[in-house]
Amino acid sequence: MRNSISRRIRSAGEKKPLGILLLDIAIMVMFLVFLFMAGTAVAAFREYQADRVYQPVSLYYRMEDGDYGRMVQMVWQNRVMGETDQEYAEYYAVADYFEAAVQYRICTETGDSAGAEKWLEKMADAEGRLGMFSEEKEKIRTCLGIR
Amino acid sequence: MKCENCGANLTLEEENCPFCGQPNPHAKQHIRDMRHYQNEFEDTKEHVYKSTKLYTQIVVRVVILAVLAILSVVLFVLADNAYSFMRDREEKRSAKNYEEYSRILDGYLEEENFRAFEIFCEEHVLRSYDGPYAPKYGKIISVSRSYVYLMDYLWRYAFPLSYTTIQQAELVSDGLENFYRELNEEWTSSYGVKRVSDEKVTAAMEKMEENVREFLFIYCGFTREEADSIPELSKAKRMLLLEEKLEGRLSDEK
Repeated sequence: MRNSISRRIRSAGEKKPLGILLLDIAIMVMFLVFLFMAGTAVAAFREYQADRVYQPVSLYYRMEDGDYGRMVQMVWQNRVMGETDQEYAEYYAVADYFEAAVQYRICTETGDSAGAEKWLEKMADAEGRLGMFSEEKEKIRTCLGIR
Repeated sequence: MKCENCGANLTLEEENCPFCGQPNPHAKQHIRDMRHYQNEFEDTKEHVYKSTKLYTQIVVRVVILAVLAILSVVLFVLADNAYSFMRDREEKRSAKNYEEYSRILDGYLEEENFRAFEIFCEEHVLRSYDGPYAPKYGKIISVSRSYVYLMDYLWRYAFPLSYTTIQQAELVSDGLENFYRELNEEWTSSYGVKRVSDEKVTAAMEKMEENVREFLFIYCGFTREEADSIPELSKAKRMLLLEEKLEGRLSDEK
């Protein structure tokens, strides 16, 4: 009668059947696919969050182009999304100054003195926050025709 | 059975007679047969054992493969629909936070911060045509969206960049058409929810219209009459007027 020990010794030396080997390979491949899909899903959700906020470099390029209008839109997008990092402060100031200056000129030329005063205050407040972008003030005033 | 030699009683397990030593031919055959059956039994048992083990190994692997495949498909669907999933979640959250969000929206309208208003509505999926925000804010959500797009086009129109072309006039023309259409449309929601009148909302829409006219007058070279007549102009006349104003500015830039 063959005992269980001899059976185990025999099975230890036996090669895996081809079908089992193929299944093992398939499992390894499917596991890699699973890991890839998991990474893709995590990346997709992170991208959704990241897409909601503009990075400083995007604001910088808009400012360099003189596209202050677009900059205002981007700054308000960041603000509504709660992005208040100090890194953005001076970019926000440039956009605020531009927005206030646009409204200031409109109020001045339409005779709305109360409105003009309000926007002038906002311009002064933004000017105080321009920091390293202080030269943008003159560019904006020139662009808008404000003396 | 009896021994053929001495007649003693024998069993099938006794190969030789215990008394005279004579070989027991029946026992030999029996023992041979028993050994054969025993070997066959062991072989069959081992075969069944191996087959069961193999079967178990295959089944376990197939189950693992199936689970991994299903999880991969689920993750693929999630990844592919991440945007919709997040938007749906945000919409549900907005419905739950109606009081708080309404306060924020009213605050933006009071400050005349229509840009922030539109962005807030967009990010929190506040729909203009259904949901709890539709009755009070439905119309202004639509109007503010077209207003923000229009102002983006107008800013580039009024302050052309190095790569701004005459096509900007077409964008502004379409933007104006959309804005005035949204503003003047008799608003109803698709689910029959009646619009709730609100002074702040009405005043905000009037202010948006005023902003557009003022901007055209101050920054785009329009006369007062031209700016006021924009809603009544045909598409072709509006385009001509916008192109004429823009061409001058583009050539000045050059």
